[in-house]
Amino acid sequence: MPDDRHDEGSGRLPFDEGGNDDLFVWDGLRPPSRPAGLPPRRRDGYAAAGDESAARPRRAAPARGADDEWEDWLDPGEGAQRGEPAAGDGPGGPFGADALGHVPERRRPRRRRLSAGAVLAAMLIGFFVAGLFDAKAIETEVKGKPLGTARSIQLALLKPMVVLSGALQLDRPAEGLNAMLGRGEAAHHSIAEVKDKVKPKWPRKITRKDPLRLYIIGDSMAQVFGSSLENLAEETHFIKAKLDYKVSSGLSRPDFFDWPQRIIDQIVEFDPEATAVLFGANDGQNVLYKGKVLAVGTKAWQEVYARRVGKAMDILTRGGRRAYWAGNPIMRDPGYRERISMMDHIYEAEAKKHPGVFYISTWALFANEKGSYSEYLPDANGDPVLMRAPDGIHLTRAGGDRMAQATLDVIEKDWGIPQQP
Amino acid sequence: MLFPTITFAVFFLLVYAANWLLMPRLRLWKWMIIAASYVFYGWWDWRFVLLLVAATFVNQALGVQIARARRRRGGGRAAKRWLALSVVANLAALGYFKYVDFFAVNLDHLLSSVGLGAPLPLLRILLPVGISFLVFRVLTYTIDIYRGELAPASTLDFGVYVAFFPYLLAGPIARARDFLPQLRSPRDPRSVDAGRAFVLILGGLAKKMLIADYLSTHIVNGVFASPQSYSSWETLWGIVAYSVQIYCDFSAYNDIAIGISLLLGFELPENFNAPYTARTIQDFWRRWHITLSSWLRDYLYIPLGGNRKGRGRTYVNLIVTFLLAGLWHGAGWTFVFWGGMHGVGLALERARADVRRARGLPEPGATAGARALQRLAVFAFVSVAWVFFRADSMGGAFAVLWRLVAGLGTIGSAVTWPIVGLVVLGIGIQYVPRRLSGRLEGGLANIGWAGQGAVLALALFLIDTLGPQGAAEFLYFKF
Repeated sequence: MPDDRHDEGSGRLPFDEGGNDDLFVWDGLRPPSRPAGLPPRRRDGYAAAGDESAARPRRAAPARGADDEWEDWLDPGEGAQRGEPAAGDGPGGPFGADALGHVPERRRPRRRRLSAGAVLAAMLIGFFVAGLFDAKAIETEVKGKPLGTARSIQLALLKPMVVLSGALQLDRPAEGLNAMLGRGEAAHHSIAEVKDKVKPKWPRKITRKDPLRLYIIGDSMAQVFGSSLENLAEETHFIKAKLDYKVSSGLSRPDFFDWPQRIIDQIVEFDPEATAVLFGANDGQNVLYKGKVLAVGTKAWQEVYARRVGKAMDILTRGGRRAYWAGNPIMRDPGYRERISMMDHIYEAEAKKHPGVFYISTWALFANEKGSYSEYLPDANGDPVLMRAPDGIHLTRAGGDRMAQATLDVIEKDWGIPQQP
Repeated sequence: MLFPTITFAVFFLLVYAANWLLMPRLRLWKWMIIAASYVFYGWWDWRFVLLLVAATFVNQALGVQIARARRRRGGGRAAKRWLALSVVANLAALGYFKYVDFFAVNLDHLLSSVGLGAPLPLLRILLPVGISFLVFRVLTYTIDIYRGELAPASTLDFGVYVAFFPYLLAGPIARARDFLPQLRSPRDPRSVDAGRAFVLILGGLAKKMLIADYLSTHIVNGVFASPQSYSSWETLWGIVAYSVQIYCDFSAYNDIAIGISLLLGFELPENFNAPYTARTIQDFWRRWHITLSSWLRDYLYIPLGGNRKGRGRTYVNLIVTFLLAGLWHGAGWTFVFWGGMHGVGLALERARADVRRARGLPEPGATAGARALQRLAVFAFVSVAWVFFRADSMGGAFAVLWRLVAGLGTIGSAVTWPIVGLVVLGIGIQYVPRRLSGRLEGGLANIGWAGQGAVLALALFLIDTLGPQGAAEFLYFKF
């Protein structure tokens, strides 16, 4: 019987002599003597990490119940010579043998240890100095967070470090490293270059030899939707698709990620004839406009957001290109659902103002027969299929396929591409 | 709250200071660490904290009842009933949060196929992070009490064991009998194993942010999302990259958890031991997620009979154990299939060894070439199994595997030198001898606190600058 039992008690049965009947307490008596197997209690009463495991008797077998024979589940089997290494140079692997069947424990050499205060000092030095060298990057990351009090406080606390870092030129190493890795600010194209690109012809005959060039953009929702659309598009053999999404991005915060500029760059480089779009999941937050913070959902916010959506649509349709703007599906959280619905209405309204932009509503596609949110929805055979991720926002593969198919149907009809059965 | 974030760094500094200031007053320390752990877990969703509270009180009550029953003459059956209640209650909680919809949907399919379909209620419960780890952890408490290997702890101590935040989300699965003794004495504030702790934490951050996240975004996600867009060569690298990604991601979390625990004065069990150096599947499971495989051995495989009921039953026990291991990872057929592959692989390995032994044949040769081939074979098997683990569906998994042969003819441009380099690095670090990492830990320990601070600063700066923007979740959080 292993000796490292905890709180053995005096041996008195708890039901005798009015023992403790507390449901949660094991007779409450302190052990009369220290159970064997634990390291001897030091005079100062302390123990260090690793003392208990070092003092524990090395078991050659896992502990077991009273009725079970010892069993090593990975035992080479009866007849194997004890002590012979199993395949893999012994249970301890190529770096050392160990008792057969026991999960190997490393024997570690005693290392110099520090006091807790010294370790705290080391950590503070580490975080502070690393923070000084990386202040600009940290500031950029904090600036990308949703506008609000928490962000403001964090930026205020960071400000002295950013100033100090700049003054001591401690931001140079990071800049140098990023430049070495090719992560520096890339040269951007201008909207004029988009106009200069060869005008896509719409409608034109789409063939397998000259497939439609489709650009797919969006936030993290577009990761699954976009890859599903890519797959379905490629299966037609009439569409060549390129997916470009950025997690946590949207149109509300160009300071975090400038989608209009990104679209311009990709149109010049990839020259798509059509773009599928899915935004909104991250856009339901306050926006910064001319130095003022506009609270989400207010009239001013809606106007500014609509303007940003309109600008994106202008770029996407310049030169006769076509855009297929997918609305967001119904969401689980009621408050979030309301904001998403508001944004979907903005997309629909702006699409009507922009020839060449098609708005595809997917709200009802992901609602049940009562029009409510549901993670599971019936497939073509009527069987329930999981469509949404556990967060109640993102899509599963099946959900992405459903949304992508609805979008592809519109694209195929618009370009006269033969629809797949 | 994710480990590699500034929020966690601030949280940990505060907890660290409180940890050592309150350590001389052990009881107060325990309340503090429980509160800190509840804050950590509740950061995801405050409702998760209720699960911790319930797990603490229910399992403590059951553990005490088991112990009392054992102490009574003739109380063995009563103890067994209390144990059964504990197992049922914990597995029911896990089933409710994780599996109810999976079983409902599949039962619905089955009934529909025989014309008895009727829509079953689908609950879609919010899944608490790390619930599978929590349930397995608390079961070690009640089962070991039943086995007489552990006496019940105080409710306060057990509360610390249930909620201890470093291992709360993704392991290691520290057993009650290994962790609870550490709560008997205050930790020595003069003896913090910072050298090893910092090596583990920095190594974990590097594995996660420089290797795992890069491979995930630059090849793995693409290959698994749209396999037909990639060539066979790219698909092959995507599969291998995922093997490296999951190792780096999961071992990184565990390394950071172990390192953080060391800074607080506690030791957690090792969970990885160079798994991709394994020469057999058996050996792989001695090196991969060690605390899970030993849990399965002690609490599932052995109670099923282990290898003591004949050869056939041994193979069945192996397969059943690993089918359930697969299901533990996720409510989906891909996980079950993944577990089944490993179970069948182990059974076949055992059968082969049994046949060879019966015929008096010697063990396979141990030349360098033979060892290399064995490692390659095991790595290939494990990587193919990982495809099912990663894919969204069985169809998706087969689509990726099919692409290995259907995409011949082009090379593609997705496999870049950084990807190749990181894959080689991710596998290569497993071949670094233990003594070298031991020397690194010792070297760091010997340079004192100022030197460690400088190393910490340099490492954090490099990891943050070279790594991606933002912190991605660890893969094993969804279990």
